[in-house]
Parts: sequence; structure tokens; C-alpha cells
Amino acid sequence: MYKIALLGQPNSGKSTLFNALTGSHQHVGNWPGKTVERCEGSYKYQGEAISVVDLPGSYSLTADSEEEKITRDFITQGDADLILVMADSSQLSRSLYMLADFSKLNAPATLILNMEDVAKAQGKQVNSALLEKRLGIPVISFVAADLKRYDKLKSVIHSALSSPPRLKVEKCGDGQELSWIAEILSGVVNESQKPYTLGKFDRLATGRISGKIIACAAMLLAFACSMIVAMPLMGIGGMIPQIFTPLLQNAMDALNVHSFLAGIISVLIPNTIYFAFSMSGFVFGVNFVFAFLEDIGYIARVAYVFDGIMSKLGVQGKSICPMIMGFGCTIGGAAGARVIDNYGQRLLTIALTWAVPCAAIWSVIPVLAAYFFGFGSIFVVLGILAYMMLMIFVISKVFGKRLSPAQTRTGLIMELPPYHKPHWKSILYIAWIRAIDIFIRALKTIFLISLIVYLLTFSLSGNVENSLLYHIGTFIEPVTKFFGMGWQTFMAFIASAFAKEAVLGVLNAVFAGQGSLIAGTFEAKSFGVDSSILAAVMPTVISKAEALAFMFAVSFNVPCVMALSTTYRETHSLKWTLRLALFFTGGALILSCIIYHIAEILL
Amino acid sequence: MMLSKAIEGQTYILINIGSDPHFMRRAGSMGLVPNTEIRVIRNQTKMPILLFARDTLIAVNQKDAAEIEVEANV
Repeated sequence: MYKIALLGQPNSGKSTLFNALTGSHQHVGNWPGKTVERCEGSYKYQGEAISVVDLPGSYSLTADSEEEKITRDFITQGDADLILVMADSSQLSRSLYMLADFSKLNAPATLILNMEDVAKAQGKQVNSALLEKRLGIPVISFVAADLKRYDKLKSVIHSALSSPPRLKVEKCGDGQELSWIAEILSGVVNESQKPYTLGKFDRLATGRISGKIIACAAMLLAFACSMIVAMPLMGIGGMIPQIFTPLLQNAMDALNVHSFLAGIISVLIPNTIYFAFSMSGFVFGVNFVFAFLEDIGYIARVAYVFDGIMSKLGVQGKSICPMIMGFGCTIGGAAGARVIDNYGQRLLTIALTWAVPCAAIWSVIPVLAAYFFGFGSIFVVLGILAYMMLMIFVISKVFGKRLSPAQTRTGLIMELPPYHKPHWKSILYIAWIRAIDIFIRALKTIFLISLIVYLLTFSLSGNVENSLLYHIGTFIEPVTKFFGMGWQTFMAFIASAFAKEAVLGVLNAVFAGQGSLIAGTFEAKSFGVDSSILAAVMPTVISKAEALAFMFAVSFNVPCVMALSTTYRETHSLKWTLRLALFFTGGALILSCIIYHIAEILL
Repeated sequence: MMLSKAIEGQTYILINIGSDPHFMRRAGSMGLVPNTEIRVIRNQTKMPILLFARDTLIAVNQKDAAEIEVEANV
């Protein structure tokens, strides 16, 4: 099987090309022993399979960072039959830098001059035939986001593979890259020079304060749009348990199926499908909106205005996008972290996003806080916000050194690409592939974890006291008490890792005796919870100190199963997903412990 | 003079790109080497400087810009 590799600077359109070329035939993993992502895929051309490796994004091949070392070694070891070197047609004198560096390595290559449409719109004509003659390798003018052009590209690649073309020109000397480019390009680009001016919108979008306001507004809008895009899919998903759970329940009753199995079929399976549906619907929405913002060139402006603040946390300015998204939904945050082009910083961004309490938490906590503190609940909410800031700081300190070593922090200098019209087809295509992919994977993960939760909460009589979770909870209560939680709140704490809405459902089952633990856990999301009795009963059983400790513990516990599953999917690292999960669970317990013991004294 | 003190709308020639080899390589890969003509698009306090060079809009941190020597291009 032939193997080709993609090489290009960030913003060269490399990942768009990779996605469009390989579609759903992708394997994403890590380079052995490195926190650098390895994307490999394949496509078929005239019955022949061709494998494609997306070399890690870097600016040059000087081996300054782990990414550059990997890329350099890959090329020099001759692991690929052909390297596709990408450059941006609209700024050739700069973007051929990678080719200049590459010329030192002498490997078979084809040059892709991407963004031909942008160059044309700027009045630039590139004579690719002249460039081809001069370089001695195929040169193709291209638009990576235009799916119609791929047949031609594939045929160029195919003929290049049968007789590997190598650069004819002299190797570029060290430090001579830009003059080497100037020589290669003489007479190639024909342009009508217009002095660059910052557009009206761009003036606002890059303003110190206005830029931040626009970025935050854009993220809120992005969240709203993702929801609108996702709504139909979520709606369909939501109907699954509402329609099938009662139907299946009746059928199970009629057939006299044992209640354990009946529960799995009528409650667990429909809810698993629903969760996977709403999750992939939302992932689709987020990917769609983020791909749009990236395609038109706006995300780079967000990166610019937030670089100062975010670089202190060890991440890029762009990382603010997933984090703001996290207020709505952690799944969206984790999926949106794809805009970060560096794997380690992406992982760190996801970890930071986990610390942001999601909308489900914001819907549960004020309700609970009001039971116990009345108007004082506003201070609980403010306290959670303050702790969120602290948590973000702590995470950046704990994981920052590993995931974002100082020399790979890219904020120091960056490019702001010109705005251009969105390529709807490729945006939709990419969002769709990701949604399908996550749906299949999520079904497995969610079913597995649901099954564990089901086993823990199952009780033959429907009574909470017959469940495994109750026995465990009451058995280890002396321990959990130390952390500030009695068996009831501890059960709800465990359930909150399953779905945040389950907190009210479980508390309702425990305190108000309304519904079984299973219904409280699984159906709180699809059927809602009537918590009127809870309001009256809970404060008589639980102390204020315990309630406060519990609310903080839930807010900063691991995110829900679906967010975990998305994180695993996006990081494809079980090790890091578990490491973060442990960190958050441990952190939540310690936090709860501290708050409980302090509140005991004060309240 | 230093790039951090540059005035919006003016063109300059890069003279010296500081002393950190890592930064110099990154700047080079973005097309910023000595003798390059640049135009300063935006220079706000506490924000990276926006400059236009080789058909590219590039943002450079104030801290790094304070190390880059430029000369007014007349």
C-alpha cells in the first residue's frame, strides 16, 4: 500500500485536506510515547488503497518542538512514498517556508498551492506551470474546502506515486529560506498591489475590549446555534425513552419478565440510545459552528484578543472558546477543543473546561441552594464561580508543565488569516462525519457505564434500601461523613457523575420516596423531576453544612458520562481521561471535606 | 527604534529580531527576517502588535516586539 504524508504550516488548510481526502476512514492516536497526535487515514483510488498521514502541525522543520522532531524524523526515514507540501496561494512568499525547509531533506514531493480562491479574490495570479517547471515536482493550485476538486488531486497524486518526483532546485541553505523563496518565486506571482487596511469589523474584532465582547457574544451565539442545529436530533432522541419506556415496560409486565431484565430493556437501553443521540446531535452542532467560525477566519481573532489572559494558563487564546462553551455543556467544550491545533494544549483546554460548571449544574444548584439558604443562595452561586477560577488556576499549574511545555506555547507570534466566505459543503461534511463517529463510540461507553450504575441502583422491591448503592453507601458512611456527605448525598454525588440532572432525581427517590432510584437516575433527564416534596423534606434531614459541601462537590465532580465519553474520543487517551477523572473526583471529595468542616463551625 | 514603539500606518524595515534563537526561528518561519518591509496596522496598549508583512497579517506580543529593532522606511 502506498503511503503519502501531509506537510504544512498551521492555517495552510492541512486538516481540511486530510478530512476531505480520507472522510470517515481515519484512525487518530498518538505518536508512540509522545503527547502529539497522530492522524492516519486512507482513501481508494482506482481500486488501490492509499494511506495518508497528517504530519503534526509545525512552522518549520528545525526540530524546535516535539512536533517538529516527529515530522522531521518521519520524512528523513523515508516512511512515506510521497509528501504533499501545502502552501497558501494568497501569501506564497511566506508560506513556501515549509518547502524551503523541506528542500534540505530530499524526499519525493508534490506541492499544493491551497486557497486559490482567496488569492484570486485578492487579485493574485499564480503561474503554477512556471513554478512546476522550476521546481521539478508537480504543483497544483487547489481549494481544500472545495470537494469537487479532489478527483483531479487524486489523479495527480496517483501519477506522482508511480514515478516519485524530487525537487530539481538547489537545496536551501540554513537561514537562507526567505531569499531561496524569493528566487523560486520570481515572475511566478502576478498581483495588483493594494495596501492592506483593517476592515471596520476587524478593527472592532481586534480591539482590546470590543474584541473580547464580540468574542464572548460570538461564543454565546455559537452555543445557541449549536443547540438549534442539534435540537431536531435531540428531540428525536428524547422521544425514544418517552415512547418506548412505557411500551416496553408494559410488554415486559405482560410477558412476566424478571424486573432486573425488564429494567435493562425498558429503561436502560432506550435511555442509552437517547443519551447517545443527544450527545452526537450536540457534537454535530458544535462542530458545525466551530468549523464555520474557523473556516471564515474568525477564530484567529479570538485567539488574538484572549492571548494575553489565556497564555498565562498555558493555553492558546482560542482556548477561551471551549471554556465559554463549557458553561452551556461540557460535551460542547470538549468537542470544540478541536480548534486547538496542539494536542497537549488541547488536552489542557479540555481539563480547564471540565472545571466550568455546565448548564445542568446551574439548573440544579440554585434549586438546592434555595431550599437551604433562601436568598443566601446567591452567595453559594458566587462561591462556586470563585472556586471555578481557583480550580482553573490549579489545573493549569498541575497539568500545564506536562501538557504545554514553555517552548511549544505559541502565543508569541501568530498569523491572522484573511476572512473569506464559508465553504458550506465541507463544513457540513466534516461535522457529519464526527457526529456519526461519536454516536457509535458513545453507545458503547454510555451503555457500559449505565449498566454499572444500573447494577448499583437496582432493587428488587423498588425500594431504595434494597439497592447495592444503599448498602455500599451506608457501609462506608463513616468514611463519606468525614468528607461531609451522608449516604443520601453520597449516592446523589455518585449519580451526578452519571448525569448532572440525576442529582435531583436521586435525592427525590431517597428523601421523598418518589420513584425508584433507577427512575431517578436515568429518567431525570428525559422526564424531569417534581421536587416539591424534596423542598420540604430535605432540609429537615440534612444539615446546612452538609448541603453546602454537597453542592460544591457536585459542581466540581467529574463531568457527566457523555462528557467523559467525548473527552476520551477527542483525546483518544484512556490514560489522560482517567487521570483527569481521578483528579476531579479526588478534588471534589477534598473540597467537600474542607467546606463541610469549616461550615460546621461557622453555620 | 523598537517595534513596540512603532506608529500605526507607518512602514518600517526590520533590522534585528531580538536574541532568543527560538523566537528568531519562529519569526523567520512567519517571514520576519532582517530587511523585511513591514507595515504596522495596529499598536494598542496591552495588546499584541498587528503588522502586515509578505501578504500576511501577523500578531507579535508586546514583550517580543520590545526586542525587535526597526527603522522607519522613507
